[in-house]
Amino acid sequence: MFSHKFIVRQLLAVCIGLLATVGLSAQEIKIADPASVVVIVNRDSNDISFMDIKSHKIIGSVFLGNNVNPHMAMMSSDGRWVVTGGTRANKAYIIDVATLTLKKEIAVGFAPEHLAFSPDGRYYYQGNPDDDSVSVIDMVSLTVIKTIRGFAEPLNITFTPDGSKAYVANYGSHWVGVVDVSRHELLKKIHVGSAPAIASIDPERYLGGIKGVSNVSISNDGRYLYAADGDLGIVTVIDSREDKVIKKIPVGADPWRAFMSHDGRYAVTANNGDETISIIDLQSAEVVATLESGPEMMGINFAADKAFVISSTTGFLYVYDMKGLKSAGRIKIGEVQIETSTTDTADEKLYLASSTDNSVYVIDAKTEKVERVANVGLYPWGTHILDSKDNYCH
Amino acid sequence: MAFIDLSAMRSATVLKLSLALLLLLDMSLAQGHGVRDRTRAEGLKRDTAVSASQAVELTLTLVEVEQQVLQTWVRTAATIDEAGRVLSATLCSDEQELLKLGQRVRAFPPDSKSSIYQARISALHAEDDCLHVEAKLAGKAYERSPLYVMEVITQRGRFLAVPSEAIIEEGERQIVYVDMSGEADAASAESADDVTDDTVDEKGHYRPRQIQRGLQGELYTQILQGLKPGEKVVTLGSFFIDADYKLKSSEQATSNAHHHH
Repeated sequence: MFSHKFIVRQLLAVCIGLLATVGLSAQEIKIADPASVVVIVNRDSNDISFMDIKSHKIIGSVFLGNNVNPHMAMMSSDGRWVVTGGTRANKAYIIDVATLTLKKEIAVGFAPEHLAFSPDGRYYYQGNPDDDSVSVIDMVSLTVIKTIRGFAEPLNITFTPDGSKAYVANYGSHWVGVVDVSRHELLKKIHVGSAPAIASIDPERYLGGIKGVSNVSISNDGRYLYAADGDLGIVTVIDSREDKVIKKIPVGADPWRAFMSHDGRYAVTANNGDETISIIDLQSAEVVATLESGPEMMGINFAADKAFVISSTTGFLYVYDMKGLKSAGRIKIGEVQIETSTTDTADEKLYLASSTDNSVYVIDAKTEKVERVANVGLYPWGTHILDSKDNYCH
Repeated sequence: MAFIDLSAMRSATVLKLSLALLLLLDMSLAQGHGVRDRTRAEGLKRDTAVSASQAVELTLTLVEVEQQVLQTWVRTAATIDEAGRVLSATLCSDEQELLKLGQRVRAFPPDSKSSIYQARISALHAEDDCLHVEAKLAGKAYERSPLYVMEVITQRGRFLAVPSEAIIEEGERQIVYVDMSGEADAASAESADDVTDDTVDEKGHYRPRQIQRGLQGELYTQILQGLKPGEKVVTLGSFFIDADYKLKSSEQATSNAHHHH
């Protein structure tokens, strides 16, 4: 039925395959389970380190190069890659998770910072705020296949659950860009609001250093988008089916972004202008509580029915009871500058990057017990866990 | 009755005429194939060329043939317990053989993939020809959906593979377009009369090649025969390359046929 040559060739192919597999597993596999690690972005040591979630030991780190300054990292849904943008190197970096090796450096636009994967993991969108562009990287060929231009300081990128569209937040303006993912083209600009009349009186404040939209947060059902605008002090609700603004919710001054509670009930904005948080009930799209917080808020995490607000320069985590919608004290991390945090997939622990003491703090959300993991790298800037609901950056 | 007989006669005549027409058509088709076969053997283009500007326009993307980790994501519907902690599903397809305890699972309600939950396979029980699967979620599921989509990520090993989208189905055959850059100069010289000015100076010649595939994974497909490690195949844009190749081949065949006659 089969020729002798064919059978020999098949046997040879199987043997080569086996050898390759055995060789690789014996020699190189360092992380067999991508869900078992916390990814740490070390800005000043220019590396990405990987910490075991259970033991809190650093498994290894991947050096990216001198003066790279990685900003944010994310793991692909198949657990195969970790990607990061090097802000000073104008490059994207692709790390093979299993072997902890740098697979590829890819030139992108100026000062890459925030990024996102399409839900199927096929495309990696890298925002380049100083270039007003987004680089589209094909994760199969590991090449830039397109550069989408026309943004205004693009920061965070949010894909719809079906992967058909991506929403790009423009911090240098007051609109959200809608990208058609099938063609990687900017389809539409959704204006979240107009610059106030005072802009003409005080253009330096309102037009000089614009504080626009840093992130577009998405509801659990994927239907609605919430874009906080710093200058306008509002959260604009967008219907993703029609890409139309359906409501503008006034919140505190200079909201950084809306952080979504995991149960899908609330969006919480960190208002750095008046050092408050606004809690928005997503059912009624109304602010149901405005609570005092601290200065320089960088992020909010949710776990154990609480919200943890990171006040960067004070070294405090402000805690809120999300059932009673009231303040629940604060946790002193130390005389340190704390940055951003991720929550584990069990919603039990937070992994907080602390830049000035080169540490990650592990916080038990229920007991509020804090454990320090020192020497994770220089100036840890952010953390990431596969499939966490709190994967964000500054 | 006379009307019926007439009708039957007409039917028989129509049937005979149809058969004759079919025979004629078959003969002309056979003759047509013969002409095409002769012209193809002599002068069909062996590859297609794409200029750098066209490649950008097509987002033409190449991938090196190499060893890749193949994953199969086994997808099934699951119910969830009242506590929102354990997913249960029954799998009756061949894919049940791929499932093992401890494998990573991604779960989400069918109406939205916006909220992904992580889980692990915690129990497997054979039930007749099917497999009952339980997966324990890392955290509590908040959505009150009665059903969840469960994606079990199974590792198949490392194989010589190409991205699945590089493979073009042509009936029973599978084709990939291989980058012939190394032979670009020769190919350009051969085809200089046939291509437009902006293509002759450019590298980027692609030739179809039949392959034999093995396992089909989530992103990659195993190659059993037809490709060597290090060769480059077209992924994004392969459809356009294929269309261009066939169009030019057809034009050339027509031209050659006219020339012969």
